[in-house]
Amino acid sequence: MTTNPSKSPIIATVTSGKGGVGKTFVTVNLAATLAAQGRKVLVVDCDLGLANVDIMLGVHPRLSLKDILFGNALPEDVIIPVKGGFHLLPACSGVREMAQLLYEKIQIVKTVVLSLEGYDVILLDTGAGIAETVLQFNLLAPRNIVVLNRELTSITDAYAMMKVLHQVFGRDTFSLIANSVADERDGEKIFHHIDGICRRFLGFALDYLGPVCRDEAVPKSILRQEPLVLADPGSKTSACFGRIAGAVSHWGQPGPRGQAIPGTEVSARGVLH
Amino acid sequence: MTFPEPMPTTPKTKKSAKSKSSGARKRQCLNAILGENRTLKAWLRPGKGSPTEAFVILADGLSSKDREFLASTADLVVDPGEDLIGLIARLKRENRQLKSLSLSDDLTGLYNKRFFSIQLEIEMARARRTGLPCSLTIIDFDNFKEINDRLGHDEGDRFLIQMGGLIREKLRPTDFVCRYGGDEFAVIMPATSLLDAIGIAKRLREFTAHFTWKMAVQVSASFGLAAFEPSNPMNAEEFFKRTDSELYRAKKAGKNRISYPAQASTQARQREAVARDEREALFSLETSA
Repeated sequence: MTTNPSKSPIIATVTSGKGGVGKTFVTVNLAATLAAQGRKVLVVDCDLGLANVDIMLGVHPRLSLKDILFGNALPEDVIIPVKGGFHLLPACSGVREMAQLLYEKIQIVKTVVLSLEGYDVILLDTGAGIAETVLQFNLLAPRNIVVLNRELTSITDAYAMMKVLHQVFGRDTFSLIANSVADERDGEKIFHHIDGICRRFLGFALDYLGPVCRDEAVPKSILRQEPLVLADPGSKTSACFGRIAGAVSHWGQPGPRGQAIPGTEVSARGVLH
Repeated sequence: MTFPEPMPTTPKTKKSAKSKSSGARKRQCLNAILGENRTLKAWLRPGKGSPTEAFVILADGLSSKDREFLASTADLVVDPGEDLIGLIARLKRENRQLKSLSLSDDLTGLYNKRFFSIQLEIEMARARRTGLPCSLTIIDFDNFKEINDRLGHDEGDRFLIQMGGLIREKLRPTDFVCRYGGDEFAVIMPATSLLDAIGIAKRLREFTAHFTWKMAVQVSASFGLAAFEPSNPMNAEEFFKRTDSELYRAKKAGKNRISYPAQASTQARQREAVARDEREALFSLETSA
């Protein structure tokens, strides 16, 4: 598949209500799968205070998003190619100024992300929760991939986050990934559970990208700082990511959900002062 | 040269005694320097106010050094042959200009409408930078006209000064209390959400009610509230209009009440994040199909 720079990229956040549900694992493996399918993919680490996409991939970037924000570097200087055949715009970890960015600076990050060209898919790996920075990044992307697992707290927090985004910003553009589930049936059960509650209390339906089945190879791949889909392309998990990547690619096709996604017209304005 | 001792005075009150003795002392000192016949005391009665003491120095025939020194301490220097009427006209004109540049309200000492307009723009720009909402409250006293009509304008003025002071005292140091005009006060509350502003307005209304219940004329306060969220592209004029229309709603609904946009009640629900029935539904994963 060839890239078409004039076409606007698919932009999606990978987010979660609760930390530790496998957000970054999903981002990295989804990006590697999409890249293997011939897409030009960029991952932006938007977990500004405690970034860890670079750790997942075993890279030590010299520059980060911080250098763009404080005027020391341009995006093209900061973006690096990584294992898995995609690009990474890394953030930095443990920098307090980045954890509590002024609203104005968040708008600048948004403008930077929207100005990047030449990509088919841009995945924004956000922090967890409902902090203003996380909400703002989720508004930037026309689609929000919400990762959750079987834990009750992860389900409740995912719901709370979607509720805030819906009630405050009118969002209903959520696609779920059930991570670390026993099998497909288990994933579907979790999805139908939270989907039913969203329909009942919030009045909109959720979209399901599919499950990521539990696999012994997962912790090993994380230790080796390598996307699992590269190390073990024949695994159950890799097959799951193959299906999810197929569904994500579909967002690029014109369709009923392709146009006028609520929230994008607000965020695409891009405010720079 | 020796300075004479200040004249003994019999003070009526502490304050007048102090000003009298210092005025008298100043006059005695100057008399000693200039000679008895060069100074005189006069009383001016501007408008309806109490007479103001004017201390006049006749400074002709003095050395230029002495003249310069005296001119530097005087409020007004009139040269012989100067057009006095022209001078007064010029001073009046300058006074008007200064007044138009003034940022405070003459009567209450609070900020005025001019300051309000400038500061509102600044606070909205700040909200756009920081992401923190800014709230605005307009307070209007119901039946204020009756104080003026029945008790006189002096009483009306005194009421406004007291209420202005009360609002200023009860609000936080970061809030801007302005007299918008007449009996209307506008308060800019930076870094304040609508929910916080509602809580503050409720307490303020209780304070004003506590203050006014013993008055001869039945007076209460109506409040209009609105909040500016940086994600909302509103300008200062629209923000003010929005708040003012809430005040109008409060007045129309029977006065003595607080009015704010309905969206605040949904925000109040969000404060509990996930409500109990939602929580129960979420917890039922194992029992659901």
